[in-house]
Amino acid sequence: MYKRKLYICNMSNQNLIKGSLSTIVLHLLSENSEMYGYEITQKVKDLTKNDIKITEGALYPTLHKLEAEGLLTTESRIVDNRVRKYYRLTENGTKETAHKMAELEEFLGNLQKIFNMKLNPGI
Amino acid sequence: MRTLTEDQRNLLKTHLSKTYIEYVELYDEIYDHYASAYEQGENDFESVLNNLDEQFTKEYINDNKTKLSKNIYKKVLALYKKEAIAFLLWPQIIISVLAVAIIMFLVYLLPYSTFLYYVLIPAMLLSLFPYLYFSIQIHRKLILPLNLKSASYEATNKIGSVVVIAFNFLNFISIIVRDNTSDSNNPYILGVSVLLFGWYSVITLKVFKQRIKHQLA
Repeated sequence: MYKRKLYICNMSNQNLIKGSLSTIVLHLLSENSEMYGYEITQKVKDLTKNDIKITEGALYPTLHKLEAEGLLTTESRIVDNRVRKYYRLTENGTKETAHKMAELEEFLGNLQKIFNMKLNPGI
Repeated sequence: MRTLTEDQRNLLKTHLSKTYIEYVELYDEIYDHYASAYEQGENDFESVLNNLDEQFTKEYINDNKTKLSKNIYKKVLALYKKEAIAFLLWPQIIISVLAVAIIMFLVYLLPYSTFLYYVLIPAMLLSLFPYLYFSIQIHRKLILPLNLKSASYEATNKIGSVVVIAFNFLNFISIIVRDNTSDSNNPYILGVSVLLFGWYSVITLKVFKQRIKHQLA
């Protein structure tokens, strides 16, 4: 049931995000050294100007999966009298991020060729 | 930035205690998410609870329960392996060699009864302290107010039971291979079993510090 509410987007781009969630998380962690769950959801919201909202039902299973695969490591710290779990990339995670980003770049390049479009029309 | 008041904290605890969260590891993550959503967001407390309840559903919690327990067991086991290997690496290897030398020296030098009363029993009592401390604290902080379990603590106990079996087995072997003319057990096996237990106790304290201590804060 909760799987139906995984991603909230104002466009019908759920499927596009679904396949990229791991890459999004890995990329954000490569740029921010360590982040906690709520921070990741807010970062995506801010970067996309509310266009993409990653919901908790999708984010945490992805984080736990990446952690189980050894791509992320966690550290729990006490913040404001509660436990906060910070995620950061492992050595393997850093390699995997570079690999996934290269894959994504290639994929976007191919899409660009197929649709003959500019990816950054504003620039 | 807003912060949760004492009443809101208690309300959030009561609210989450009505869900089906079983492990403190999941509870802490979800609690922090609710608290952060209120403190860093603009919605009122009631709306935050209602919005997030739609995400952290019973199905979500049940689905995560087994996966979380398995993942944490793997992580704790990996931590034990890492810490055990660290004893064999520089500079800890010096302490390890010294410990082996002292224990073997004591096993050889002291009569079995003296070794039993002055080394083995105090060593075992010492290793009981962390276990008793964990049990009392976990009961006091997690079980009584929240009815939660710690997956990390469960994993530590699971690994501990394997070590105890190995310890008992080694001592059993030391009695079987005992020289009938002598009143002492095989010193090598006895020494190795004491070392194994000592090693396990030190590593458990390190695992406790890294994985469980913050749960009892």
